Amino acid sequence: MRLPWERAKESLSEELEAHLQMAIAERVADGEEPAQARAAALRELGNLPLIEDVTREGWGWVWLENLLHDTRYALRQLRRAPAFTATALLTLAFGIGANLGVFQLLYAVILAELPVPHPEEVVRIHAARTPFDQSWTISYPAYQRLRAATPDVPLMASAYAQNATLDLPNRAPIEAACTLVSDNYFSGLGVAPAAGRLFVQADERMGQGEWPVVLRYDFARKTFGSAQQAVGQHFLLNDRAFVVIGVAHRRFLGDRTGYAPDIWLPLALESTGALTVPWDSLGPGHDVSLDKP
Amino acid sequence: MNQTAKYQNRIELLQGTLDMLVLQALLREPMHGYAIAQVIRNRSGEVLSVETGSLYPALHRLERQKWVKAEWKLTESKQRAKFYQLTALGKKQLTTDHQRWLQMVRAIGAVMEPEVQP
Repeated sequence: MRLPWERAKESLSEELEAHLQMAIAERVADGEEPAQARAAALRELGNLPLIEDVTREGWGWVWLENLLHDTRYALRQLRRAPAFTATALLTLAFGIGANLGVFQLLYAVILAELPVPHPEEVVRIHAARTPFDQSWTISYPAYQRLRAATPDVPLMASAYAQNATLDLPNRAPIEAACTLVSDNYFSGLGVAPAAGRLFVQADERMGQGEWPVVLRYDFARKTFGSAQQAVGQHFLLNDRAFVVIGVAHRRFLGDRTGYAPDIWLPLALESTGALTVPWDSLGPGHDVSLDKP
Repeated sequence: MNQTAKYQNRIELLQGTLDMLVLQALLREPMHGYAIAQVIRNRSGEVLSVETGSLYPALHRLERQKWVKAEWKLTESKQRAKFYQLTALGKKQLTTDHQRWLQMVRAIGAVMEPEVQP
């Protein structure tokens, strides 16, 4: 490929060459020997490459040409010293890579905001650790009491749950990550459904034959083909019957960075002990159960 | 030597006058660089000489300012050369430069020969 300035450069060379030819021709016409005429004309013309350089500087993009030359020169030097080049490249690569990695980690853990409409209004409160098993989780009755005590604050809860085995007819069992959430979890965070609906208060009703669940978008697509197709599907989770009532918005992956549950279930389900480890917050020997912690 | 004497009689061009001289040389007809240098030398009675190293940067500068436009053509002796032609913008510039030059000559004249002033 011919670069535009190379064409312009050739044009300038030709222009100066024409000048020289005309000067020689005139001297020859005046009776000088051709060789002599040429030497004299060249002397009169001066330093040709310098003239070209000065003229080209007026064009304004000599700096770009110089930059290209410098780059080419640098690349040639690098090729000549492969060991140095490899060392420099690796040092740079690791340096930049490490910084990028640390930044991405920090960004994901600390800087990134929840993918909800008003992340700045959301405050995370950790439940106190239970004295015996040092669990961070919150029990459903405890949450209910806490919520009743703070009627002005939209208090949402999400609680730890074990992974569960999801059984679909004619399909291999799927291991699914579960999280228990309060009925106002999605509405409180302002998460929109991708399909179906999200939890409402009625979903907390105890003793249901079939508990409602909400699926993560990608999990719904992977398991049922699409968010729309997932809604209304019935399945067994740890041998208990569930029905998909909705799929969360594509970008909502839960409230905790680095952990995206596949299935959200009503917090009330905790009391059944279906998905949680039975815990005894006062330790063995005390008559405390999930129903009266 | 005659040649040397002639060279020593030449006067360096005043700063900023080359553009004006080139534009003036092109006023009547398009010309290539060599002819422009010849015209300036001949009309000045061999006193003003335009160095190639100044002429071509000047021509390319004028072209960038759109005061002249260039075209490759054949000379009478079938030599391919780049011919420069004055543009309307260049004519305007020439008038301005000429006015300023006359002013300058009058001003310098007034300083150097005050007795001539009325």
